[in-house]
Amino acid sequence: MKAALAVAISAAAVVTGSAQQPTFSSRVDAVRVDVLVKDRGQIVRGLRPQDFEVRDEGVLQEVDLVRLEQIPLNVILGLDVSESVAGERLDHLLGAGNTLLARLAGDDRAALLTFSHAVRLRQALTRDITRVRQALEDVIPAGQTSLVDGTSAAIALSGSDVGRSLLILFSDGVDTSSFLSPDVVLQSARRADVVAYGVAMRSRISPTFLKELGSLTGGSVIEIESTKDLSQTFLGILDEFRERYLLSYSPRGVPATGWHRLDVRVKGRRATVSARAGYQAGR
Amino acid sequence: MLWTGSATGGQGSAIDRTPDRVDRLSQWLDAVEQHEPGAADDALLRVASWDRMTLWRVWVDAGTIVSLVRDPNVLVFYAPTESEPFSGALRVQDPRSLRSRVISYGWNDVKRLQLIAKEIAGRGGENRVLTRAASLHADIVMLQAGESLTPDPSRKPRSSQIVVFLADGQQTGVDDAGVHWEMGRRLLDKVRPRNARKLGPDPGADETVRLWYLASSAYMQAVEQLDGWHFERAVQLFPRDPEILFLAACAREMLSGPQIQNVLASTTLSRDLFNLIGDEGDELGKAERLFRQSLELNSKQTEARIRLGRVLGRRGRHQDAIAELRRATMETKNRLLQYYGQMFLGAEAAALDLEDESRRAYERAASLYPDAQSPHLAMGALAARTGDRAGALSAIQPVLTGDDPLRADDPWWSYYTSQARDLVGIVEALHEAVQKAPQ
Repeated sequence: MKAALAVAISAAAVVTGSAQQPTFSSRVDAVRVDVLVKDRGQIVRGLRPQDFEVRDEGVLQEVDLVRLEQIPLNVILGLDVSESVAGERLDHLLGAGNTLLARLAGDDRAALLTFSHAVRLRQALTRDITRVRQALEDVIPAGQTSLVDGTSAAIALSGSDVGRSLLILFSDGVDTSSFLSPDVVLQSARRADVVAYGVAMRSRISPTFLKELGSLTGGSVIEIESTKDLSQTFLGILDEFRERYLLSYSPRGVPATGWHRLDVRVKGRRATVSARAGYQAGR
Repeated sequence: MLWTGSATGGQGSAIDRTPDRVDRLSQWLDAVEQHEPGAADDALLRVASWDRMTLWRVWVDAGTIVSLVRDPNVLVFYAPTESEPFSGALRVQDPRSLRSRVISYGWNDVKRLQLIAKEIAGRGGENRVLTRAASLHADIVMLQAGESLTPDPSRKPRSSQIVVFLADGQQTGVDDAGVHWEMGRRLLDKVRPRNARKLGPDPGADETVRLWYLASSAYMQAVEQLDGWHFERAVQLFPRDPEILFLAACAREMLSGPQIQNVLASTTLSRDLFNLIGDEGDELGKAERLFRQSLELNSKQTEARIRLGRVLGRRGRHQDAIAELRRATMETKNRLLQYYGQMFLGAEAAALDLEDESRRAYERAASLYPDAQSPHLAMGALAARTGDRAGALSAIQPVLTGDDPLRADDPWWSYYTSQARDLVGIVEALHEAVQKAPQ
């Protein structure tokens, strides 16, 4: 189970860049679960490990809590740069990207991936945010939308032994040209250790793929009326991501392989918990 | 771009009798005679400038001429009852079943029409005029000499036949549909070749008509201007022609695709306008049926088999799909068809958890088009789903970081139009047939 667990991390990864020792244990077979807790729409802060109840395939687990301030972020921007983004939307999109990049801390890393009919990695994960900004400036919208293909590539890029990974996907329309089917990419997302947030323009067509992706990874979808306030939307996602809890546990009493359904609750209160739906262990 | 059905019901309308009516018909016949197929000549430009009503009168009077050539003694002429010029009234299996009204000509006009008919009879006959004319009207569209093909947001459609402009799965404009394809179809509906199987018009027995439908269907798909009726009519006329069936199946596959279906799901226009286009499942079902019929008539059409495999896969019938795709990829050496076949085979094998076969298929596709992204993205997804994170990353990185991936050559990006890649040859075959028509 150790090597095969897609969600396993090493202790070294957790302490990178930190002088303090986290409370996370050094076991390599740990499962980590990124959790957001809200109560009547408000983020709940200050919870302790004993406040959480995590069931793996229905089996109660003993959880630790990782102190998030010690863990750098990997922020992957996956942006739709199809033809329909040209003009004002592109200005808003570039503005939002720059605003978000400016809010990152020194140890955080960022990457920029764009998709039209083609998927393009404009900047791989780097701490040099200037390079990501420069890559943003080079974007020229054209072509159709391969949201599913782009998401697949972004998920592959998000795999990192260092830090917590946040994927922000923006699309102003629906997928029109991906080769990959949504099901295939959602399968990959089950094994990925990334929280995906989708930002979609509100329309008559529900952003089903982004919703399922958000649900599987513990993220969500934000449907916007216009791109005017896209900067605030991106910042809201980043701020929310920083307010999440990172739980970890060594699975006990569960099968070594297959899909593991996760159930995360907060004891003694009616909180809304957003966490990945489960994880894939082994084959 | 999509052409829609008719938005209004049929009502009677008077046919205006204008003084220059026969003169206009003569001008049209001169243009038909003078036009060199495939050339944007003066004859073509002259007819391209005429409005909808003028062309409709020409079509009505062309019908009169056809009647006179076939029976010089006829004195009563008919035209179908329509709510407006070029309405959708004729979109039926047999246009002769429609209600008609008598066309009123003055005696002098009848005499002039009789003379014109006599001249046509001596110059190769009415079928020659009809096929040459249909070719002329097709050229007006294909050479873009007619109405603008870009939407004018300030203009509201005035007819019930509209064209919806799309980009990236979104509706970007609406305008009146052009009439030249409809004109061509209506003219050809009157063709009665020497080997006709029935007493009345029998366009389905005419080779030039078949070539016209092939060329027009290929053109519509090449430039993504889809008129559901056009493909339906082609199949009505040529239900046993594998090439016609193949292109009709491809059109249905296109209509099932996200570009079109997303617009249908989000449009604010009445769904009745799109009554010839079903939802994704309907269109995939029609595509499957047509591909199968085409293959029954010519089992060597590898492209039809590859597309059938893909359609079956999209319908969730992965075992059936992989059987077709394995066979198709064994049968062809064509690089492009191999690429499509291997890509779809890879997807179906993955769906059936045959990971080794899937990987091999994607690798073969990647070797055929080294710059193509899709095989690498697919290999990356295949690795990712088995938890091979490093493998996923190494599979995709080579094609994501090139200087300009947008310029990369990935045939997947043109899959929905690639069936029309031989358009030039198909159109040339039509022009050749038109020019060879007996003088």
